[in-house]
Order: sequence, then C-alpha cells, then structure tokens
Amino acid sequence: MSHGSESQPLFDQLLFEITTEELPAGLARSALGSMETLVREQLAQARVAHGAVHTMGTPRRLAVRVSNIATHQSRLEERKMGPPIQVALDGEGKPTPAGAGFAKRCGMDPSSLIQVETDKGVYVACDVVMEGKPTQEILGDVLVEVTRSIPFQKSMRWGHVAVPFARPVCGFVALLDDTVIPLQWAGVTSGRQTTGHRFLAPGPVVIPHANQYEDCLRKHHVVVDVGERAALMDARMEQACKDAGVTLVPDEALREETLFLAEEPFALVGSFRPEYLQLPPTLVVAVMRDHQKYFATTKNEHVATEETAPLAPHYVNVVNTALRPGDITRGNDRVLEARLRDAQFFVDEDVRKPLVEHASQLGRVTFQSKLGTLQDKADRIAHILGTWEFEPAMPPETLRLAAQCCKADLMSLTVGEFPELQGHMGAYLVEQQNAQGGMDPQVGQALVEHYAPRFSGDALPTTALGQALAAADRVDTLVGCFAVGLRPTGSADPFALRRAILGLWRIATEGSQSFSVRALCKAAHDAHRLITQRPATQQVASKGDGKSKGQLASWEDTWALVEAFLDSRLRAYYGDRFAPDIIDACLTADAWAQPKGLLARMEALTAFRAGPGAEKLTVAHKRAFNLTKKSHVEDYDEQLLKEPAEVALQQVVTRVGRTVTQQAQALDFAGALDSLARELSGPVDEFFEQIFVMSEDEGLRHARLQLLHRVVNTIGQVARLERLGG
Amino acid sequence: MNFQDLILTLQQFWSDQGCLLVQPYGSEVGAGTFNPNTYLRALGPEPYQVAYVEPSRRPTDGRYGDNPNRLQQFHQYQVILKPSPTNLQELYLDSLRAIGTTPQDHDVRFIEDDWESPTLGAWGLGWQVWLDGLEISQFTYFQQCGGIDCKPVTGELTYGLERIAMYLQNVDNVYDLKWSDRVSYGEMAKRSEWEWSTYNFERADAELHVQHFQQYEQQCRQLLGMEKNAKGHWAHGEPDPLKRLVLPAYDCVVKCSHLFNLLDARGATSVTERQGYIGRVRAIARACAESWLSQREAMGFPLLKDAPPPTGDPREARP
Repeated sequence: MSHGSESQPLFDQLLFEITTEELPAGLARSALGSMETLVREQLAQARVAHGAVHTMGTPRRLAVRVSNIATHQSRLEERKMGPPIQVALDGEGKPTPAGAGFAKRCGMDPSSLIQVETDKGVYVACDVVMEGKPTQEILGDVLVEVTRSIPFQKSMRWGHVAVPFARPVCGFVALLDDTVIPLQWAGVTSGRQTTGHRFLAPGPVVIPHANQYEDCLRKHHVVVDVGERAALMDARMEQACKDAGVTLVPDEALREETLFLAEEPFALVGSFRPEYLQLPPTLVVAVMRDHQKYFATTKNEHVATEETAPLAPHYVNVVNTALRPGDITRGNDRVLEARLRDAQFFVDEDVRKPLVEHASQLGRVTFQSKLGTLQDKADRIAHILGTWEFEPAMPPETLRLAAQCCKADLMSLTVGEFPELQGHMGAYLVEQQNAQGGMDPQVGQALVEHYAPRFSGDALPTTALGQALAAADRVDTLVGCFAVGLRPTGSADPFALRRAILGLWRIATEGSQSFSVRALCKAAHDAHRLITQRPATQQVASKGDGKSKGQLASWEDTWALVEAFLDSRLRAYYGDRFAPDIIDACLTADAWAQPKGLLARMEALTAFRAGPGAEKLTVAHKRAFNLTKKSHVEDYDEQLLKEPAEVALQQVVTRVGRTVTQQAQALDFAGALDSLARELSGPVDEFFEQIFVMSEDEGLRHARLQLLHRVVNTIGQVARLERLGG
Repeated sequence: MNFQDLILTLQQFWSDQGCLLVQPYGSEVGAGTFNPNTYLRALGPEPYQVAYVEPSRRPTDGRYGDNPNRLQQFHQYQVILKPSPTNLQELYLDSLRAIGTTPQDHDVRFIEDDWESPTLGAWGLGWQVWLDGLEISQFTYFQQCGGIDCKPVTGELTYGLERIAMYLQNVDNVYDLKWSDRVSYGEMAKRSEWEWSTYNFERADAELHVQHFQQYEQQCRQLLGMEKNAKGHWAHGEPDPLKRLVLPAYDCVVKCSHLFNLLDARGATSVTERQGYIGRVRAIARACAESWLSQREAMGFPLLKDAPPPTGDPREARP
C-alpha cells in the first residue's frame, strides 16, 4: 500500500469549533491535547495531507485549526492478492470463474489480473487504485469522529441526547476556508455561526472565513487562543497589582484554572481586614485559593512562594467581565469577609485547647477498621520513632510529643473545615502554645513536614525529626495494610500505598538520615503486634472498634509481601534511569538494609559494565553461580584444597573479601568492583582451567563447591552479576 | 426585595415557564432533591416541570442562631425541568433578571460542581453558580437516581434563597434580612435556630432515633412488599407494583435520612456506623425508585400522553 505523492492544490485552512455549556476548568487543557492527537490520527486515516494543527479553547468552546489541507484524499494504490494461478486461470490463460470473481471483488476487470511470483508459487493479483475523494466530502465524518472520541474523565448526557460529552454541546462551526462542512452530532448541526461572550457580547457571531475566527471572536470579547489569553491575563493581573501597590504571589495551578474560567479575563484587586493576617497564612491562602479562586498578594517586591512571603490584605480576582468593577469587588470582598470570619471562629475555638488535648480525641476516630483508631496509629508511630537512631540524639519527650500530636490537628475544627490545613494547623497550635512556653519548636515543623513528600517530585521534609516522622507514618500504614491483607489491586489503592512506599524510599535514599527499610518495617510490624493487637481491655474505650481487629500476618509473610511490592515499585521508579538487568542485579536484600547504597551501586555497575574488566568478572561469577546454585553455604575443610589454583583462589577470596566488605560499607562500589575485577577474575579463571570441581571424592567436591560459594558471595556483596544480561 | 417577594417573583417566573407550582414536602428533608417531585419524578420517560420552595434541614449546620451565615434550616428554591431544555442556562439567567440582578453588571460564572447523594444513590454533573464570588445556586444534570439511569436527563436548579436575599438586600447577617417589609428573618427564625440547635446537638434522644430508624426501615420494606430471598437479600415479594405503596414507603426513606442526619449531629454514630446507615438508606431509596418506575410503567406512563411529540426537539433521541 502506498499513498500517492503527487503535489495537490491546497485549502488554506480548516477551522472546527465545538461550543458547549461551561466546561470544567480542569478538563479543557487535556481535551485540547486529545483533540489535536485525534485530528492528526483521523486525517491520516482518511488520507488527507495537511500542515500545522493548532488548538484553541475557552470555558465555552474547544477549537482546532488545521493549515494547508489537501483538496483530495491521497490516491490509494494497493496490490490485492488472489488465488493461485492454476485456480484463477484456465489452460488458455483465461480467467476461470474463481479468477473473474476475485477481480470483480476488487472492482476491476478480469483482464487486469496480473501474475505474481511468491514463495508458495505463482498467484494472480490486482493492483487496485482508489482515487481520493474531495476532502470536503469526507471532513464531516472525520470531525464527528474527532468529537465523539475526545476522552473526558467524567462525561454526561443531557435532555434526550444519548451520546456523552463533558457538558452539553451547543453548536459546531466547521469551515474549510469559507465553506461550511456539514455535519451533525448530538442533535446539533454545523454552520458558520458561533456565540460571543455570554454577557459582554451575547448573540450570534458569524465567521465568514476560517482565517477570521480569532478576530471575529476577539471583537466579541472572546480571546480564544489560550496563549494569547494567558498573556492578557498575566498582563492585567500585573497591572492591577501595580495599581494597588502589591505583588502577586504566583500560583501556577490556580493560574491554569482561572485561565479556563473566563473567555476574556479581567483582573480586580480586592481587600480584607488586616486583622485576618493574624491567622495562619496557609489558612488565609487556602480560603482565598480553594474556595474563591483568588490569588494571594504580598507587599514584598520579589516573591518566591506563599510560605515565605508575608501576605498583604489584598487579593487578585480574575473575573469574566468588568463593566462595574467596583460592584463586583464589593461583592467578592463581602464573601471573603464571611469566609475569613468563619475561619477565624474555627481557629479561635481550636486555640482554646492545647494540642495534646486535641490529641486526646484520636481514640474516637477509626483509622481503618482492621488497623484501629488514630490513637493506635499515634502509639505505633511513637514505638517506631523509639527505634530510630537519631544523629544527634533526640530527647525522648520530643519524640513522644511528635508522635502523639502528628494527627492531633485532624481533630481541630479548622482542619475539619479546611482539610488542606492538616499539619499546618498542628504547627500553628504548637506555635501559639510556645508563646506561653512548653513545646519543643522542632515538633511544630515536623508536624507540617511529615505529610511530605505529598506527590512525586515534592520536596522532602528538611529536618531529621520531620523525616523520621514522615517515614514512621508511611511505614506504619504500609506494613499494617499488608499485614491485614489490604493490598493495592489494579487501579484500586485506597490507602495510597504506592505513593507511601516511594515516599518512604525517597526519605531513605535522599534524606539526611541513614536507616534500614527492612529494620523500620520490622519495627512497624512489632508496633502493630504490640499496640493494635493488644487485648481489648487495654484499648481506649471506643464503641465497636475493639471487635473488628484484623488478624495480623506473621513478620515473615508480611515482609515477603512488602519486599515484593517494594521490588516492583523500585523497578518502575528507577526504570527510566537504569537498564532493567542493572536494577535486577542490584536489588538484593542488602538494598533494603542499606537504601542509600542502591543508587551508588547501580551507578557503579552501569559504569563498570561499560569498562574493560566487566566481561571477565561477569563470566567468572556466572560460572561459579551456576555450579553452586543447587547447594547451600556450609562449613568445609580448607585443608582438603591442595592444588595450586585452588589454594591461590582460597587466599585471594579471603583477602579481597575483606577489602570489598569495607568498600561496600563505605558505599565505594566502583572501588569494590575494581578490586574484584583486578584481583579475583584471574584466579577464578585459573581455577576453572585447572580444577575439575565435580570430583568423585565427595569431601573434595564439597570443599571446592564451598570455595565457589565464597566467590559468589564476595561478588554478591556488590551486585548479583549472574542477573546481568549479555 | 424582601424574602417573600423573592419567592413570589421566582414562583411567577417559573409558573410563566410552564412549571407546576407545588408546596414543600410534608416531612423533614435535607434538600429539595429528597422531595418526591424531584427524586421520583426524575425517573422514567415522562416529562415533568415543577418548582417549589423546600425548607431544608441540616442539623449539623446549626449554630444556635449565633452565626450570621449558617442555619440548621434554610430555604431552597427548587426547579425541575425534564427533559433538560437546551436553553436551561438562559432560562436561569432570565430568572436572575426577574429578581432584579442584571447578570452583565456582575461576574456570573458557572463553576464545575459535580453532585452526588450517597444516601439516594443519585449523581449528576453541573455547576455552582457564582454571583460576584458568592455561590447562589446549584445546577445539575441528573445522570442517575436510585442507581437507575435518568432517560431523559432532568435539569435541576437549586437557588439558595437566604444567600440571594442577603445579596439583594445588601446585609451581612441572615437575621437582618427582611422577611416582609415589617418583619425580619431574625424574628421568624432566630429563636427557632437556638431551640433546634439545642435539640439537635444536645437533647435529641439518640436511642429513640435509632429505634425509629429501624422501624421506618422495616415499614418501608413492608410497604414495598419486600421479603428476604434464599440468599438473604431483600427482594420484591409483591409482584404487582400497583399493590405496593410506593409513596408511603418513600416517606419512610425520607424519615430515615433525616433521623440519620440527626444522629450524626448528635455525635451518636462512629465513622464505620455512619457508612452503615448511609448504605441502609440507599438500599431502601433504590427499592422505592425501582418500584416507582415499575408502577408508572404499569400505569402506562400517563404523562407521556399529553407530552408534545419528542421530535419537536432538535436534540431528540437518535438511532
């Protein structure tokens, strides 16, 4: 099959617009991305050559422009194979009924059958040529297919319409230059008429030619090009801030959202009473951003983040119209005032009680029915933190307080109302309490930090206590869930264990503390056994929660599951940086005990493999490994080894073994691999050259195999080279 | 515009649009959606247009009359248009014009808001409508009710009457609203808020409500003629839907839902129990939805007879 490549005259452009009722702001961007892909796919499938594809959109429309469209589909030339020649043609070379039938099915005259030699003999064939139809005739179907294929996270039906879309579809503009492409979908037919801004230019807007689309809409207060609208919005926000003497606190997610909440964005600056700046800044920002979609501002001229900038009592509101900016701002100020007053009420109520008093309510809330209450969780975290080796040491009182209070703010009215304040509210309460003295200030920061990392790429906790608390919280959930059979399946991961385990791993590998993930898991399992499974009589009295405790799997069974999960997650996590067999060779039991070594190991092995000594050492290791894999490490009598090659290997393995152990402990894996390659490869080779391992003499055979075990384990301290490919 | 004028204006507007005007449901509900004029009428093929005020009770939102914005009983204005018309948003904006706001002078926006009622087994997609940053209405295209696909789709508009009135009257405290020109909202509701908050949070007899919940749940199943089948699941034992008493049964669902809300406010349910109650209400709500639909079918969907032929709508059902 081939596409005809003769140059064709072109249409200048195709413009397709779907107008809708207001789309969810979060869906528009990805819908436009899908639309571009679909347009390309559908046009390719329809054999229509074209140039650039550009998407545009607002809350009420999704649009795409395709430039330089071929006037016709490409010619399709295709050779269709028919029956063997002896079936298709008679003795005189004329088509048999079978041959004629084949030609007919191809839409060709029987005289056009040709003969083709293949591996299986001579067959008849038809070279079919399909002339391209005019593009205009097929575009309607292409565009309907694009429209109905746009994927949405959630879609809906409306009225009697049976086909789904993100929101009701109101109309289509489909123009090939100045000609309407007729199409119909969801009971709506296409034309050249769209709508202007809902309030600033209501009514129909006629698009004479595809190339006038943006201009026509711009005149009707719709800035349909996303980039152009973003620039306009930014400029107007900056101007509004300048006029008010404040600086915008940037918020990329909010900017993206507001961009799809207005067809023409206007920026208005509103204000609130300065006394609300006494509230936790995170709370003020949350009220403005999450509930009202306002940007925070600061008096500082240069701003990094909301966390560092002191807030100003002003906000930037991006709106969709601004005929009477004063009225709109007055209305918004009043709404914000009511919300901040509400927030103030919650904070005032919460501050009346010290954080530990909030913590005393944790026993009333179930964490998970098989894993006890939040109080149980806090107790387990305390146990796990108790096993943590802090450098320098941490006062036990601080650890106890951090564990006891890390979930306490979930009991506060403020977090009940603003869940995004979790951690921050705890820190705020610590701070308030510290004004009267009494709590270790490290605790406050750890309470905020222990929720990090919240997503892939998020920053880690910065303090030692924050990291330990974050790790303890995650390992508790992880080990607990696996121990009572709550494993993630397919897309269902209600406890976000996949995220938890990677968070834990990042703390272990990138954090300032060194710890063994395996030992931490063991501590968590002990905590579950000691605390969740303690007899019901010792439980904090709480209704019904004592009965349903799940059976805890043994440590060995639990660890096997956690290890397999960790293994599979890490393969995915490191998969884009290291070859699969490198990961495979380095993911050993040592990796769980010494997480920080894993990266160094994989890097060293990757570099080593590219170098000169790798092949020899790998071959040596594999030979030794293959011979030993059916036996176990046991004691053996060194005196039985008398041949020079085996005596030499015995000595080298002892010496190199010591060096490599030291190097591995110092995470110097490049050095270790170098030592092994330099010193061990030769003697192993020599050994295999000279010695017949599988001796008739059982004692001797045993000693030789055990010597090889020592070789395998010495190399295995660095990596399991037998898993390397090639 | 005082509070009752606001209601009268909306009544007139939606009456002019051809809606039936009905009165609030005679039992405690958390929202106008619980009224059978919404929950049951949204099911099946029959067209239906209705509007009503629904005094809505949310026991946990009570603040003893102290909070200027929160009430344990507030008023929704509910409009149901089935099938949802193509100009639903325009009709809504016209209704704002009718109550004296000029949308083009304000920032009116439709912000995504998906609605789900776990107790009713119902969900839909739509928006909250913002007027200068204030959420004044909810706008939902019902996709499912009682676990049954809504065909055709019903459009639901819910106006928060107190919010809108506060905006129109330019007051910051709900109790300062003028109910009529002579009497304030505070006069009508403040004492009531204190009494009900005290009752909901402190005095309601939890044990009595737990018993009532069980009894209404039981009664609901009886009225629908439900029996436990061999697998221990509840199934319809009464084969003739016309012999089931669907409306009284649904009344029991509404009562159970409110009893649960009260128990919740009273702090008498643990997190796990909460889920259990929600599941129980959903189960009987679904049973009512199914029975109501079979009943209407058995009656030959009476409202289809007077309906204009569906081909009049360009968005009519497609092959």
